[in-house]
Amino acid sequence: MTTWNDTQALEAAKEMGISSSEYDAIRARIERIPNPFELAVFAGMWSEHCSYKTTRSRLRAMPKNGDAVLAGPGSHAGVVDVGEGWGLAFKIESHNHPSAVEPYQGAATGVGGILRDIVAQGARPVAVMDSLCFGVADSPRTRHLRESVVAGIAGYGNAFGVPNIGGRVRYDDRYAGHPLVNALAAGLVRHDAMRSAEARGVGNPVLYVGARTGRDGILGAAFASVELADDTTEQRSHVQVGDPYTGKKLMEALLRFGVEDGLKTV
Amino acid sequence: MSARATVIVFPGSNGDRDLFETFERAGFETRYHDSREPLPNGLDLVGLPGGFAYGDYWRAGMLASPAAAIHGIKAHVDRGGLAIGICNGFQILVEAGLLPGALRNNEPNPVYHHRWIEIEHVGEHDSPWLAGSAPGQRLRMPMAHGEGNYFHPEGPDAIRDRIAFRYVNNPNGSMGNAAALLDPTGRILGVMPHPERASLPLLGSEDGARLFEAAHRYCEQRA
Repeated sequence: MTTWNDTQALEAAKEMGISSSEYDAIRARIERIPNPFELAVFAGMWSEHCSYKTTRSRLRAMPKNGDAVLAGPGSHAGVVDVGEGWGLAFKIESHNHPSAVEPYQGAATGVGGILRDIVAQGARPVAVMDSLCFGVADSPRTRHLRESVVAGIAGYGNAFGVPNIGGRVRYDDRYAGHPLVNALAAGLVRHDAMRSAEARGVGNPVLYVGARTGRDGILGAAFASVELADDTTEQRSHVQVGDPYTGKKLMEALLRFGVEDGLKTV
Repeated sequence: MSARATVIVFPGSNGDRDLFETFERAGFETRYHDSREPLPNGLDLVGLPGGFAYGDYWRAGMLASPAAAIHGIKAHVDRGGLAIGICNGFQILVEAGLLPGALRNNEPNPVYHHRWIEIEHVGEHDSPWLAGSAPGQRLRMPMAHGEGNYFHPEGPDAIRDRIAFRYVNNPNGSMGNAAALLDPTGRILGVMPHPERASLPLLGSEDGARLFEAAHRYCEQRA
């Protein structure tokens, strides 16, 4: 058996988008050399996609408390009270990197991810919106990105059965090669049907369900933290291929089983 | 006893709730029905909703067309019952051979289109579905599909007598501007745009409600 040393681990870490200082922090935390699996877990959880490490300070400045707030940071999706026993759940996500390299699937799975969060909160999705930024409007690259991104957002929402009710598009040279693809999903939930992302108690069975996983999408979250290469062809496999049909079936199953059926948390 | 309707739910259907509410508003006592189960007796109306039955990763409607509930539609219609397939439901009826022809990718641009459109009541048909509108009358409703290009291998003459509604401005290259088709009995209607999404003033139009109200009158008289 070959030995796994610090130099190799650091090299593997860098390939997954973990910086030297982050590697040192992992090393200090677990007090040994992390193995490749552990590195992949840290690469995912400490990625920009999951931890918002560069935007955290700005997010902290945003308002999150109020009488109407039923669920805030830490939940699957924010929920505000809209009266008559109903809450409106909403979630925004950017899928900029994936959409830059594989615009259809990158944009489609951006919509899929936030619909997941709405459903996990116990709400039935009712609307999708988007905000898109591309390079100058008349370049062939922009045309390709725009058509594929719009088709990806439309395709996922149509198959899932949620209408896209609005959006905006901006064109500016600064976005050339680095499009911004932001999607919003909103859903309705009865106050008493809201779910929490927090699991309590010992001995509860855990079910891990979702669309089939392939080689696509592996290390996708970590990929959001690294600089885009000039030639992005090799990075395309980091983008997951969406499966709205399975997502739709999963939603119907999750919304049918409530807390009283033993489904404590999602 | 009030007229009874059912909405067939396939895995991947997503217009089922809209259709259910529209049937109820038109006066039908309505239930959902699992597509894998045979149709019950005593129904007046069977609805196939929009959506992506079985994901439609193959030709739209193909995987859903052999479902147990679909097998029962012919006998239901032979007994005088009504059936309507909307969008994906229309695609399934065509794949099952209950309506002629095929629905292909939109032309000339083979992508998903969604917008408000107008369809026009065509000719003189003896069909309960058309009793709520007059020839030439235009109805406003939304369309939302990527595979709505109606095609018949023998050309437009083969379906001339079957077209119930035609597009005022053809959005998908359909042969003969066909937006909705009837079977020879006039009791099965396949329609590509969404009358159920135009069945309340709140939705922006209630033109689509005419179809369901006419169907309800027919079923009440039949009973």
